[in-house]
Amino acid sequence: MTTQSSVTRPVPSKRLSVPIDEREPSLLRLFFLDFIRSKTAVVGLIVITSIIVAVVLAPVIAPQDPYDLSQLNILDGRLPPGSVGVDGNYYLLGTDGQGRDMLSGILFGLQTSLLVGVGSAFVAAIIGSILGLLAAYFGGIVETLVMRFVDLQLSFPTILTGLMILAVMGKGIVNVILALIIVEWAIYARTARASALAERRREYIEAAETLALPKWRIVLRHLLPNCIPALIVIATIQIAHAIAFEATLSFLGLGVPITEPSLGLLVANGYRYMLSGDYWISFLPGLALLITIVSINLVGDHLRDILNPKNKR
Amino acid sequence: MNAYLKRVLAAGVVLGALGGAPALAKDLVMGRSTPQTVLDPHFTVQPTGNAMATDLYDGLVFFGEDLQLYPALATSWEPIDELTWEIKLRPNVRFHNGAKFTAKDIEYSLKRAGSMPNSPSPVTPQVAAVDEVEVVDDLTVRIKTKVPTPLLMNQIGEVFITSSEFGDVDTADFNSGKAAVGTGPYRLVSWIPGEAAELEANPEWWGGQPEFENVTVKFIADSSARVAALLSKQVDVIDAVPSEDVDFLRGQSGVEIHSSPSVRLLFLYLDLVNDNSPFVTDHEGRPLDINPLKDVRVRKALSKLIDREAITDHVFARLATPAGQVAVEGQGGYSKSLVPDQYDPDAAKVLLAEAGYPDGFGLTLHCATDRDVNTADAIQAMAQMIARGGIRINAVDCRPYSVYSAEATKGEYSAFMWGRSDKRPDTSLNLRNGYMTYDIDAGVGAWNRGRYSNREFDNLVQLALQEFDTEKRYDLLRQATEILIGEDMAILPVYFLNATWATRDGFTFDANKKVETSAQHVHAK
Repeated sequence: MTTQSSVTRPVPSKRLSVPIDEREPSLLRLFFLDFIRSKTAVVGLIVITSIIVAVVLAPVIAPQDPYDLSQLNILDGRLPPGSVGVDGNYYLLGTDGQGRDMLSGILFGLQTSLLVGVGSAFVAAIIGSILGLLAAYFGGIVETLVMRFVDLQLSFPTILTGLMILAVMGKGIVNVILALIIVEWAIYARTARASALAERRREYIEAAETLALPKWRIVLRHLLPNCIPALIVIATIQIAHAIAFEATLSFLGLGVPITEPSLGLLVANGYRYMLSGDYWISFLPGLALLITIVSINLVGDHLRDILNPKNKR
Repeated sequence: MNAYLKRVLAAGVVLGALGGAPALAKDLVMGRSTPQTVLDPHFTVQPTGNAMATDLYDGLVFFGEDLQLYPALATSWEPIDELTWEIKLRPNVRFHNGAKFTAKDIEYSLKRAGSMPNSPSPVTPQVAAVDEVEVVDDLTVRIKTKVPTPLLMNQIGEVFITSSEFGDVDTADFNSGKAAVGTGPYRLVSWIPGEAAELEANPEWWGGQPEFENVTVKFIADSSARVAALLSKQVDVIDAVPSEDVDFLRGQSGVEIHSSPSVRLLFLYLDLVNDNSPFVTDHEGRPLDINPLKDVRVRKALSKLIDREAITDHVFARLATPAGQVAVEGQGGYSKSLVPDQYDPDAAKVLLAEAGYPDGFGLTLHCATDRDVNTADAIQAMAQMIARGGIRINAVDCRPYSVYSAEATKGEYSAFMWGRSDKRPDTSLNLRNGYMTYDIDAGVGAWNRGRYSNREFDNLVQLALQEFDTEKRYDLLRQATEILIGEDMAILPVYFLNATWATRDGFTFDANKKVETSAQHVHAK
């Protein structure tokens, strides 16, 4: 997302002032033009950007700190959207069973979800990519060790691995992130290795080797940058996956503490009231979760399309 | 006869059989919120983990809805002298395997209940008073007690009787079904732990022919799933109806809600013994090397911070009653002067300041997720109230009961919710087992997880336990409770649960104070 904003900056002014650009368009600009070709991806990007802004500003814009128990009032429990509580608080999206404002709950819950999703995807990407690159570049025993470990990891259902890890380490956000890293690094390792194997035989690597550059330099400065597009695509998909995974774990009661609900836990809490018709407690956080995951996936899908050389006309 | 006619005839026979079905004894499927944890009736007194015991086994007596004693396997009992009781047994009773029930089985069961290792809530205290069991003849036993024990039948009446024929069996033999043989109205067919159990009628039961031929007990921990199972007619009766669904279920045709005030008290245990209590911090979350919970003013302040009515109204849809003591009205030892503390944050602030904590301190609350209905919601509501009173709530941590009960019993928490049902005529045993100074050798205070200790209280309970005169005994118990709660606030009583059940059309349920979900309480309409 940061590369995006740096790209968007110069474009409009250039268009206005210099209608005919004589220079060869830069790669980033081409990328940008490619990206805006898909309306859905642009919508996805706008949605996810606004979600991120809302989440970062949550402590300022949320009507209530939903994690501060002293601000909740059980007397305001299960109020439908648009109600006014006993102390005169207005609840735009209603309240949950504890009297927690749903709007604040969803904003803070998204914060947890994104933190878990982005945090785990980032760390898992670093660990996984480095191991994958090393496996591809050095081959032999390193490759065997890393890739068999990857196979082992991928042969377990992720939810089972996650449950086992949390059962041993206990609840909490940090532990959920750790569990996700352990579950996810293998996917990055496999992707990094696959694209590095292809790059490994290219001439520029040979050239670098003839120059007797140190191995770390070849791996990090030459091999890695050329594998990044594939990793970005995997990362966007894995972020969405991690968010859903955290929601699942919290829904099962193994994720975050009950007084600091993430979206998954909000859904789980509201699920009990579904039969009684108090739909908003489960439905609204579920909707927020759905919108977030779909937007990330829209962006990710389109990135995959434009970064894939086969789709280039 | 052609094939077509044959088919029509066959269909007729099948339809006829179906039409005739209601004349046969009905079957019953129950959906229970708590799983059966053992089949060994001597392993634990936990009524929920062992709810099937009342269907499979009998005790010497049973406790009626008025909490008084009625004859079961014993037909009469009377003291011969201060230390000896003579019990006459019911003749012509047989175990499910055909073995004859005799006085030997009483001797065997009382002995076995007294030597049960590693139980989380042992039956041991119920037989602690027994010194010697003397078999006089097949249908007479004499029980010698260590000290005068007016309430002997209340105590040993809770021990289920199993067959002495099995000799030296352990809990695993019961759980496998081998030794799970009682004299009760139903016998065990199969048990799949955590899933379901099958029972069948014991037509020779001394209490008469049981109402249902086959009984299936399904363990459905998730409350929504339990309600859904009732609505889809997969089960005929469910227990622990979630309060959020009560109004909705009342509007469903054929569904009936059965509710009764119960003797199940939910209270907050406070760590009264450790100076470094594991989950107490100062008001900024740093470790604290004194334990404010040991100060009675702090405990009273906590009690005044809990708005009990808000909890019973909003978490339990009024299917719970605020509690101010351990006894329910009508039970011996109930004190009229102990009313539930009113919500009074100003008085609490003063008390906290007096105790030296004007800025409060930090506390983590613990509870079990899958034990009593809505405990996690209630404890979060309490956490809100306590936090508003200026005490920092570091966390509210709810865990599965299997993990929770072990950790709570080992004293690993500082403030934690617990539930206890006292279905006896008076509170003497509750006070003895639950609140007397913890002394495992003397068999007192076995369930005293907060480790409350007060000599004066101990003496009053001890006197009450040896008092044969009912009025005097109740008075001693009342005085003891007034010390326990009124003076010392050893625990914070929060609410008595109403027990709720729901049945679908064709069935009805005897709502009972004892919160027993047994097949004996279900009737066909």
